[in-house]
Amino acid sequence: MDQLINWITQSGIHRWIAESPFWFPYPFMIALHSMGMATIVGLSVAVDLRILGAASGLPLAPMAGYFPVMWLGLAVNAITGVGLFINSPELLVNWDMWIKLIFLALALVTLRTIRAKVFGGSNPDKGPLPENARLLAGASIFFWAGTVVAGRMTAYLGS
Amino acid sequence: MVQSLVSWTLSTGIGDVVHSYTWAFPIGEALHFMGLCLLVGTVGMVDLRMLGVAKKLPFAPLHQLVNFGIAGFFLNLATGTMFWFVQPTFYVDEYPNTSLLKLLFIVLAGVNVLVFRLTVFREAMALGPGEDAPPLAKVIAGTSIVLWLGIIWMGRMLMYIEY
Repeated sequence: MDQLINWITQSGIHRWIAESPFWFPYPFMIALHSMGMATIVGLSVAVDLRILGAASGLPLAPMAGYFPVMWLGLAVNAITGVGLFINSPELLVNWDMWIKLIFLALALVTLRTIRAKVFGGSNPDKGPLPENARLLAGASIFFWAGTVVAGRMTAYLGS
Repeated sequence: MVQSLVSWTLSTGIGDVVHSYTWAFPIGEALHFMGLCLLVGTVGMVDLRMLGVAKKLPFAPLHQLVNFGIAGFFLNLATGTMFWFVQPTFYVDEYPNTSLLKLLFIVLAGVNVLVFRLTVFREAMALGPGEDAPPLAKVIAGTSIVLWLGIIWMGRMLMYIEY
């Protein structure tokens, strides 16, 4: 890991990101990372809230239309996330960052499961929801909250 | 005028109290991020529906989710006010323009909601599954998305870029 961190630190792309005094690329990446977060976390949690019973008059099936927008937010954050790692390779040995990444993995697996179980089969508005749908929605909110909190805390913790 | 607001803010001593709890500010930041997800997620859903995404959703029940966005807004108003009490000079002396632009965008987002309420709100609320929103509703929805992303942008530029 130390070798990897050294290799990144000595790379030209690290110096370009870390030494640029302008709004591009570092502030740009960090702003985009927040926008991507708002997109995937916000839309995913809104779907979770509906599954948990909020706005119960709202049909669920058409909410599938928001998933491509979530994947767009995820793509933006995967790209900017790699850029932020290149800027601060020491985050690779930050335990709080690993907690964030574990929460993120759990949140994404849960989101994919919700996509498959609630939206992938028969119409969720005709008949009862799969029995573990509410559990999945609650877990999704919990994992996203963990991702966001642990992510913000990398500024204070773990190094 | 701004300087007297800063003096008053510092004179209350609220910032010192908050500051005495080491984790109050970081926890406030984490809550601020969660609030923004709730706000931008639910409002963004409604905006996207007007722009044609997930168009089979009836508008009125979708709009109920905005209540969570309003809760997120007040969470962020509270945590944002806390940030102000802890470090008013950071905003006024170090990042005055960036801070003002963020506040301006928030006010414009409020004006945008007001325009929506006063113009096409009733028509939008009547939208059934698959129905197209009126053109003005689309303009308002697009404006909303641009403004909220702009607010996130300005919020993140605090610490990095002074305009």
